[in-house]
Amino acid sequence: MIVVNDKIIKFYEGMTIADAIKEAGEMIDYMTIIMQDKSIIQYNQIDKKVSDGTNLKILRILSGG
Amino acid sequence: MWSKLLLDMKNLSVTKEPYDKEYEELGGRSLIAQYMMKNVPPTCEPLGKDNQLIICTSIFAGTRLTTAHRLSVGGKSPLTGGIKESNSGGSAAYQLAGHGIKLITVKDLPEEEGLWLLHIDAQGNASLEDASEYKGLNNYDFVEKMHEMYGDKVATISIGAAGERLYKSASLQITEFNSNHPSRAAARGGLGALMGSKGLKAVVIENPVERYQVEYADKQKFDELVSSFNKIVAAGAKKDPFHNIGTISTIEVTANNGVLPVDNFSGRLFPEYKEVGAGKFMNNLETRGGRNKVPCQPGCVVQCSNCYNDKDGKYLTSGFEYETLAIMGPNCHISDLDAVAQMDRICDNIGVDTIEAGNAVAMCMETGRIKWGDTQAALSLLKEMEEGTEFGRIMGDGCEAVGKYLGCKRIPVVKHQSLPGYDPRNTKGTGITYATSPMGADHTAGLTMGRAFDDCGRSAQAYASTKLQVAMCFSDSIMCLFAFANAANDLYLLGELMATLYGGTPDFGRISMLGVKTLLTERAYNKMAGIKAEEDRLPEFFYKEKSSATGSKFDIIDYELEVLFDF
Ligand code: SF4
Repeated sequence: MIVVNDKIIKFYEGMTIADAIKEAGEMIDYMTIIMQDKSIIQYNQIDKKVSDGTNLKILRILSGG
Repeated sequence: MWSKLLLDMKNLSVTKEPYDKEYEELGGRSLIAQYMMKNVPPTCEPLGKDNQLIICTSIFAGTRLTTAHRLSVGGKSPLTGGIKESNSGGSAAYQLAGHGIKLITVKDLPEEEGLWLLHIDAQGNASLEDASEYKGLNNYDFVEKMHEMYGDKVATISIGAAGERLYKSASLQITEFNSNHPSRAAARGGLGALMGSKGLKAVVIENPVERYQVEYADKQKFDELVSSFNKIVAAGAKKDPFHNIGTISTIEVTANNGVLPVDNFSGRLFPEYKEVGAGKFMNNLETRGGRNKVPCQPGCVVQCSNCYNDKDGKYLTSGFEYETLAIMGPNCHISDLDAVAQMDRICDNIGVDTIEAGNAVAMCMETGRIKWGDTQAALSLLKEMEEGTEFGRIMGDGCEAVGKYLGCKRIPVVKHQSLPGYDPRNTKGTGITYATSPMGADHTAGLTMGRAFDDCGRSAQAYASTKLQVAMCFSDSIMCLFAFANAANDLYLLGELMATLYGGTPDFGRISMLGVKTLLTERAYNKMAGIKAEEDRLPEFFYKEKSSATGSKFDIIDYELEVLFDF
């Protein structure tokens, strides 16, 4: 099981971050920040594999800080 | 009925009067624009008797609208020479609203040298009190004294040594909700110097014994709508990096596309950025016992603030933001997060704008006065500001003053105010905002990153800038921009909230026209102040030098900037 922004999706062997994001129906672009558990992942590193139990947060910068 | 406090520093008097009907539906930036146009001569000397310091709450102050208790500060800017509104979080606006105070104006100059504070006691009585014993005291020590005297619910708006010495980069520091640290700042434009020129050290607001009750046109409907609106913002916040991490997360986006300023807006990338990145920040919070998800004002559901500890787990700073990090970190080739946090703390304590101070440090590096990336030398420069040495006073006047003094050719300012954490070659709409905003180069005036089709391209940049500049004018009149951004698809509700609070039609046009009117009023004010159309430009080097990160120059033609607001 993978959690993407509170949505639970089914894990399968070889699943990447991109796959999980797609399954969860989320969109990403260069304004997106991905948190994998407690690490920050760049949006261009989405081909990394995920392991079962991973928690992903797909966060989008809305305004300057 | 709302009230206003009129401070006359010549007579050292405070008068409480009913709040003006004509400003009823105004607050924050929109109120400051209209008030200044009517009451502050555009050609006045910024530190002279005719300028006024204006402190106000927002349109929805006193209500349950999330982040409605933003504090706006205004006046003719000692830095830009034009109109200025600078806003901040913290608990002061909430406490003012609790006393039913919507507006404070401070006029004229004291006839004798001295320092005073405005004290609003728990019953709502306002008095000017001698504050000469606090002369030279910086913000953290001052606030501690106020807490000893009035308890931990007291809110303060204060200046440190920088404001007293009339540094053009001086800020007003506002205490944060709960933590009570003076870490929230109305930082831009040197309004702390304006407060210092009036001899006003602080506004000290005690927790009201009984909170002022707002009158609603239709309270039941307002309550329903505000609950829906707050839920929308809270739902959006769940996916907002500012909530999950903090505004520092912005660096994860800007570092890879050349938007993050590096080595005085050189246009290069900063490969070491992860050393000051969101991952490092979060890791330090976890291992040292700091925290994020902190609300800087009561009722904020976004909670982007934080409390950052040093490596020994001792409190170092709070409200540690992206703008500070970008300008004092990579823009000075500094990749030490703790050093930047330390710089943030020094700036909050003496009361200066971190953007102006960081860019001033970069000027010293660009001209070889100190080495790029030398954190100790950078900290020493801030210490000079604190001590008030000769060069420290030049530093206190900001980036342009230092750049000119040291003969720098590349000074990143618009209307004398230095650029925040976005390179305008790689977010050109933001560059248009920097060039044309009545505020000067400002991070709260309309950043377009991610909103035009291509940040380095030319299409839609002017459109994105205009739209956001108008939106920021009404956002800064209503609520915190970060909460506002989370409700971008449901802003029509704000029109309905206006109608249920003030009466009239539930028309979003009331809100959007407020933005247009504010922007045009500010531009007219600046024109009357003598600011010329040719000043609506970026520094030359952004037009001539390519950003090596992207190959992009700022190539927006002058004509496009000149017709931007021909509505
Ligand atoms: S979103 Fe951040 S800055 Fe805005 S009110 Fe909340 S804590 Fe303060």
